[in-house]
Amino acid sequence: MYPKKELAQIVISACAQFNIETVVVSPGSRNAPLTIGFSSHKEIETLSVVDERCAAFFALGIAQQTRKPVAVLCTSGSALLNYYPAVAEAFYSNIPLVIISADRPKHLIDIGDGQTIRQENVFANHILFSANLIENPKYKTRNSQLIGEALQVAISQQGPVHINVPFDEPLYETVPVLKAYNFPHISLSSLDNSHINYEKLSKSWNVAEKKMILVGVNYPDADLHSLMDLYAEDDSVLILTETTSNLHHDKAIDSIDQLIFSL
Amino acid sequence: MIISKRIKKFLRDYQPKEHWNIDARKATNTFLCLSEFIQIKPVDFFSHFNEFIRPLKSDYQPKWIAFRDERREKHLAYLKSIKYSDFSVFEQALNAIPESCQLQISNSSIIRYAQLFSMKATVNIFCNRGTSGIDGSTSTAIGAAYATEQQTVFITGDLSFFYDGNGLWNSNIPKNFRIIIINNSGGGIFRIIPGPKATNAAQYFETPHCLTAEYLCKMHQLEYQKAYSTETVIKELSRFFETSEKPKILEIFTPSAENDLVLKDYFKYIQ
Repeated sequence: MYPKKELAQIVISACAQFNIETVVVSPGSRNAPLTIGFSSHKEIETLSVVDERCAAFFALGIAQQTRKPVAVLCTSGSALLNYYPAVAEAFYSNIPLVIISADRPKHLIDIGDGQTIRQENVFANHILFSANLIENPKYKTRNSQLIGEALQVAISQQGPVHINVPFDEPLYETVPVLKAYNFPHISLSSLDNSHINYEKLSKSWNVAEKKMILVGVNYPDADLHSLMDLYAEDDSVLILTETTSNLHHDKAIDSIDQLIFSL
Repeated sequence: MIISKRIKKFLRDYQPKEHWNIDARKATNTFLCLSEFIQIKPVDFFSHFNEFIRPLKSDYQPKWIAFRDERREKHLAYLKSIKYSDFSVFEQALNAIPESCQLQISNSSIIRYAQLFSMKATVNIFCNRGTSGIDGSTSTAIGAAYATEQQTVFITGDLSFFYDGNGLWNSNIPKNFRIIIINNSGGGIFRIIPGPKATNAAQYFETPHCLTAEYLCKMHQLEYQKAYSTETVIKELSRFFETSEKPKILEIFTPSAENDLVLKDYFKYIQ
């Protein structure tokens, strides 16, 4: 069972095409078209969490481990604002989190309707991309492009994006199938490392008698670990590893705070 | 992201000649003296850079490693000497967690305590350090537990835990998920950092309380264990990681009036 609304079909189809495997759904009516569609989709797992703040952090925990985007879906109004703490965390921790919020169409905002707030760009300060969709067949291409770009940014830049989806009533009409839509794959140039001037850097490295490698938040990485073996052999290199660096070495200082006192 | 406030302050006060920040995403001028932002994954940088560098004779590393070893010994000696407190409980908990698991740590004083201990190399450690908030640690840990095969253990303070109490309102918590709450009846960090205690508004910082997780556990149908002394902690931990039909919580009550003194004395002792 899929939503009759074309805009909802486009959002679901895009998520499937960009391999969003998990959507954490919080209850509501305005998001019903998407809730119905996501829960019907065989390749998308839907998990239900009522409290949006918890839902977003739950999704963040999943994405922290899989390093693949996880979506959260909520209804309109203050529900969306409860995502904000997790959005900020995702922004600063580089975790791909896709926020999908249902909204009312523009003409129903600020005229006294319930569960209605100004949702467009609401995370402006801590988001990588905001897609403000419009429910109108003439904006179909624009909507598809915005959704595609949002998902691609979340994946390639590993951070939070927001897709705001306004729906007019009726919200519960369904059709049996999900149509196939095409989303442009924007070509993203991969990180170009040619700008790094190792020669120049090595000049100052090779004469410095004291070099400190300080490792902060980092995923477990066996290759980095074996590289540190090489660097630790150099007496002029001191390796400091924080608890969240997930790096362990015999010649590293792993409890930094034991060593530093105000002088 | 760097957690240690001490190393941040040290490197801001005594700035290095050069600071290179190696990160695939963005530059962070943590020590206010950034000279090179090298936009690449650290592992890629170090593997390339290795071809360009040569070792240098220096007493820098040996001196600090010797210093580290001294402090480590003092750390262990201090642990043997202290009474029951957050500090002693933290050591007990770390020793008891399974050899191979994922450890999620809440913010504030818990991550600060964690920074003082050497961790098992087989344990992967995560903490929400993007914003360092106490607001979603339980929910994040549950999400991480749900997404990994490995058993997940979450160590949290009482304030973080109660703040995100709704995190347990989730039907996808794996059975082998374990939460250890170190309940010192308030925001212990505000007794540790200088400032709040000297004011006339200490209770608004520390927010002392008498809450326990027991009824929250009942409501959300988690198994509940509690401990309140070194002996009871040993006893409860010994069966805490056994397989179970439900996720479990171990709530360890510590004396709020003594925790900060134990930590302060620690820094005096190891110096």
